Amino acid sequence: MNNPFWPYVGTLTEVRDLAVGIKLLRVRLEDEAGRRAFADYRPGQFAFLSAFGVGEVPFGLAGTPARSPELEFAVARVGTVTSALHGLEEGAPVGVRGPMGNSFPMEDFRGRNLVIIGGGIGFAPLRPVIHYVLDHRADYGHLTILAAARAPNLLVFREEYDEWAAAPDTEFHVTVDVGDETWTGNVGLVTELQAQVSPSPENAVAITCGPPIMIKFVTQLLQKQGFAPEQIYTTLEMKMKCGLGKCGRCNVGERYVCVDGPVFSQAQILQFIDAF
Amino acid sequence: MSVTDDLRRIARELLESGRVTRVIGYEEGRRGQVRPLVARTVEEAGRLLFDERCARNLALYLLDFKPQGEEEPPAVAVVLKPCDARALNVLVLENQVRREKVYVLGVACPGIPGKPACASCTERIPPTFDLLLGKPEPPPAPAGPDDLSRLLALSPEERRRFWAEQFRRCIRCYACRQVCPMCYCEVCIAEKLDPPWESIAIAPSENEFYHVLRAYHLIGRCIECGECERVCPMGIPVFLYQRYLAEEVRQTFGFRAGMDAETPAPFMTFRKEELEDLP
Amino acid sequence: MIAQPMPQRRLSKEELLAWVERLLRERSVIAPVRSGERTFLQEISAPSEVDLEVGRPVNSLKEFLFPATETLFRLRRGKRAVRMELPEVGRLQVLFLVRPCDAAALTSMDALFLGEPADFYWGERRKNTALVGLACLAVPTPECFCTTVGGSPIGTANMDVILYAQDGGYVAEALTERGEALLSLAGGAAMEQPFVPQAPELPPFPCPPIEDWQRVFDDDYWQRLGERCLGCKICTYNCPTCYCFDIRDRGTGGRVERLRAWDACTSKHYSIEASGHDPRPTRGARLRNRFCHKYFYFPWRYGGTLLCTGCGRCVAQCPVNIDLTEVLEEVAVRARKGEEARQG
Repeated sequence: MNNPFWPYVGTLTEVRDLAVGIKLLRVRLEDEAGRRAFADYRPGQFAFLSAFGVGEVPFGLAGTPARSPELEFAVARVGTVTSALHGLEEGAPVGVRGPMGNSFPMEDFRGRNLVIIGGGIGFAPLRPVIHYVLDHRADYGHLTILAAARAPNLLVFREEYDEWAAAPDTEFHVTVDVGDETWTGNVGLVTELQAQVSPSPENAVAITCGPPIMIKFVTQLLQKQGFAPEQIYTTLEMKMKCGLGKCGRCNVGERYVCVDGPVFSQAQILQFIDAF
Repeated sequence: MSVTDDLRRIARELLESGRVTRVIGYEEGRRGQVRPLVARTVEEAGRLLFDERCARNLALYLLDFKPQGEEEPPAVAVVLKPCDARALNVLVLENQVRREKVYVLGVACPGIPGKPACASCTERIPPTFDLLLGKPEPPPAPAGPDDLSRLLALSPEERRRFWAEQFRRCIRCYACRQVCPMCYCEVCIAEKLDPPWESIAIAPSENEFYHVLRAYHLIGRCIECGECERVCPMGIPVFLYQRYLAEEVRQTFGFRAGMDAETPAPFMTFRKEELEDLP
Repeated sequence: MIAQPMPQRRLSKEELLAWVERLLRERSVIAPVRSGERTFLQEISAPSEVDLEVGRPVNSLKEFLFPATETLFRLRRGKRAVRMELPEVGRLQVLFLVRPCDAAALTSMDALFLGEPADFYWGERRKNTALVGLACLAVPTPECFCTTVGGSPIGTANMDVILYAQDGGYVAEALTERGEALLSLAGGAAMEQPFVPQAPELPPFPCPPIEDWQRVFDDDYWQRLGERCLGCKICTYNCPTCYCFDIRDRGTGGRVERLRAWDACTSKHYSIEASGHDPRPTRGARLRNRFCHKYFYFPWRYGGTLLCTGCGRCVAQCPVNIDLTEVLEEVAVRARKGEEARQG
């Protein structure tokens, strides 16, 4: 039975805090069909995670198949389904549908410098890009990573910052809007950091993700810094239900974020007729 | 001069003088119907009219002019029939609308043919208005046994079957709720999924939940304009149960919603002395 | 299509109803049924229930292929495991006396639901459903506008059998193999002379192309229209081609079912995100989205197929007289004005 609404059954193998109100969920797919479907998902794709009895919600896949056969999701608790997911124990069954959506064109990015700017939980879909680049290091140029959040306890994947900072031909910067007693790093908006770091647009591609307002200002500044719209990529969010381009909900004009996206270049976004 | 001519003249004056920024009324629509118009300009005011097709309760659109944050809400004028004006009183009593921001163009109502509420209505003049248009006429003679008496003549079991049959047809388009000025919850309990009060299913059990709950939430607040029934595409007699409950409120508390904007409503008011009345 | 089509057949009214009786033996039959002042398409248990006079039922045939609510799957849930099961989907059914506009709706709905990845539930129902259509030899209602959107009152798209009301009876013609099999259950006599239907004329309205909708996208017309829109779901739910849906689980404890139910982009919180951000925060923006979906986004994505068959239900049923034929005229006029202004 070919039924795109039928989730693969998985088991939650890890539920741990990533940041305040954000948990990392690791899922081991239990059936062969699921494992096959997720054998080579790409950075930027997403999947629907089901808390059985409540519902399902789409999340960006926060890892890569190369680094882990188990799927990783960064889940912020914002509603009934995410609250239910947060409340699950390790070993609980969950449902997964996917992988869905398009992906970052990593082949087109080969030989170019990459600038990754992520804010808050928006960093999660950018993490697979970083992993992919680090695992194919010779194929890519200079890697610049800017991580940001409103406060230190809202930064995600902090335990990987040292690996990224130490990677070859890579620079890592982090900033928070407001520090705390233990914070010794940069304090300030991500755009202030971006202005300081001043990434070069020469043979470069910038990828940004975060709250809509952050994407807007980061993109504006990138363009001022000389990045053409074709050089800027982001991953969009709209309320979704099916992930298949059938339920009619996630459209921005004639584009469905679930099948034409979620990855879009700024050049494509400028063509969008409707707001998001 | 007809009501329409007076209405247009006054609406033009109100807009021109800046006394209001909008005049909410009716205009000629397509295919012989009238439809709501939120007139902004003197030219648009010239399209306003009032005749016996003007059934919609325009008090509903006052909810679009609620204050946003610290801003002063705009002053608007609105054409209100007596039942519609009762809705305004309830909105004022419930702090949704500031009375001084609304210029009421009250209409002495001739009754709207085909509107279920009109058969039992005795109001000829709006209970609140800033200007009265038209001439009040004596109320019609009371009608004979109607749908409500026929329903009440049924046994409770028969009534249960009747309503189950009606709600089976419901598609939860929520037109009955959307047309009602008293239903202004930001998220209706029937659609609130966080926490989930009822499932998304469009099915008899969920439909009944929605209708019964809406009826309860309107007790002592329904002003009996009957628009809920008029807009139902499936022909469900929604007004029948609203009217029944309004009648119960009248008999039990001697209260009718919206006759003024001061009298506390029975189900919205809590008096400590009433505790002593409990058996 | 059939290689050697059956000849047309004449059926008296009695023979038509006897045919319904025979169909009822092995299938569910959905037909127009009168209830007070209204007629609804619903399942019948006897031929006498059929309303043969109706112009257009309140509801469309949509719910018989895409129910207002359906269970996608059930599951029994334990602490460590789940067992999922598919409900039974798709029983043999005949949609009887559907008008060409309703039948035409299946073209766009098939394009959507059967496109990759195919919707299992629509697929199962679709293959078990036969359509017996009734042509419109006179214009059934004042709100009809099928010709505006490329349809025809005597169109036969997606039908298995077409009926033409003639001389107190009907002329029946099989259009597919399935139709032939169905019609073989009917009595009546073969026609000697073929009946050639004449399409009645409908009032013409413009059907603005995609470029026009793009041109008027930022016009304040939409906000003004939104001012009177109630934000209900009447137009969406009774429309034969509106398909937006919601998915949510129901049930507690060990027994759960995943439901799919109709939803409408006209409703207030349709697109609101968990963060609270709402990309379509006004009724005008939502109305614009609905109309653009039908005349711009869908044809853009599906090779020009419009998501509207001109059945007129939304026009007849909107409580505040938002008239799609008027919207089409306004879009055409405003697009023209905009073009002239640009060239001038």
